[in-house]
Amino acid sequence: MAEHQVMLITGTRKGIGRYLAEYYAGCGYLVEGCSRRSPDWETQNYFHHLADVSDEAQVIKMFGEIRKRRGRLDIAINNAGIASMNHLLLTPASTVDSIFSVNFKATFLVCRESAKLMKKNNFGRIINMSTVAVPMLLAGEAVYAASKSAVETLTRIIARELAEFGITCNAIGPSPIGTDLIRGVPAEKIGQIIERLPLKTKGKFEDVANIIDFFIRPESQNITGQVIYMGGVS
Amino acid sequence: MERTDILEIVISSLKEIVSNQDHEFPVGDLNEATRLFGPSSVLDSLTLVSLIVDVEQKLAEEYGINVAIADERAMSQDKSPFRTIGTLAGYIQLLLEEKSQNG
Repeated sequence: MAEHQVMLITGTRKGIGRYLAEYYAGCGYLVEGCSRRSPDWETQNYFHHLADVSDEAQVIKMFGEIRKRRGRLDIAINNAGIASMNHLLLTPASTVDSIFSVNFKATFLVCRESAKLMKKNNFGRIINMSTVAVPMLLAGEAVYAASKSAVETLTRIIARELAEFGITCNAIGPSPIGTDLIRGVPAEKIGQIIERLPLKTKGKFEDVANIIDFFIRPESQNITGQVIYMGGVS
Repeated sequence: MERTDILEIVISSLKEIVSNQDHEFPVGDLNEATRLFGPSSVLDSLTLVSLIVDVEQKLAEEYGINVAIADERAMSQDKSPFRTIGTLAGYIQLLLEEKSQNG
C-alpha cells in the first residue's frame, strides 16, 4: 500500500517530524517534508520544501510544487508545532499570536490545501497533532493547550466536512516526548506531568508512528474525527 | 488569460460534477446565465464547493496559476460572485488581472 503513496509531513527538520519522515520514507512512501530552515539530513524517497506553514502564500506554493511533481497527495501529517509554558499573568500577547499561528493556522492551511489535492482521488488521510495537555488541563500551558484544543475541534468538524470526499481526519495527543518542544521545561515539571499519567512513562517517537500507522492503514477508512491520547490519558 | 478560456474551465468542471450527480441535467444547456446556487441551481452547496476547488485545480494544473477563488472578498460580497457561471468567470478574471498587476 505504501508504494507510490504520497505523504506530506510538516516540521521535518528535527524531532518527531524527522523521525516520521525517515520512518515512512523507509517504508516506501514518497515523503514530502517542510520546515522554515534546511535540515542537516536527507534520505531516499524524501523531498524537502523550505516553507513557513503559517504563511498562506508559502503553503499554496508548496502544494503547487507537490501537485506538479507527484500529481496527488494521500496522507498529510500536521506535525509542525511550537510550545510555550508560562503563567497567564506573565504571557505576552505576541506569544499567543505566534502559538496560534503555527499550531492552529498552519494546521488549518495544510488541512485545506491537502483536502483540495486529496479530493481528486476521493481518498485521503489527515493526521493532526494535539497534546495530553488538553484533557489534563495542565497549569502553565493555557495558551499552548488552547491552541491544541482548537486543533481538536478543527479535526472533529472537518472530519464531517471531508467525509463526503473519502478523506478522514484524526488527531494524536502525545504525552511528553524528549524533543526540543519541551526543551525549556524543567525536568522536574515533566516528571510531575508523567506522574499524573495512567501509564507513567515518557512517550516515544515509535508510539506516535504506531498511532499514525493505525490511522493510515486501509482498514481504517471508517475511523474519523477521533483523538487518540498516549499514556492512558482520556 | 481570456474570458472564454475561463468560461471553458468553469463549464468543463461543472459538466464533470453534474455528470456525477444522480439527477439528470441537460449539460448541453450550460451557459453564462446558469445558476450555481439557489432554488433553480444545478448544484447544492457542497457541489458548489467542489466546483470552486476543481476550477482552482484546473487553473493550477493547466495554466500554472495558483489562486484562491474563495477569498475574503468573495465570501463577504452582498452579490456573490458565485451566482452564475458568468459571474464566477468574471470574478476569476478580476482575480487574475489583479494577480498579474501585482506581479
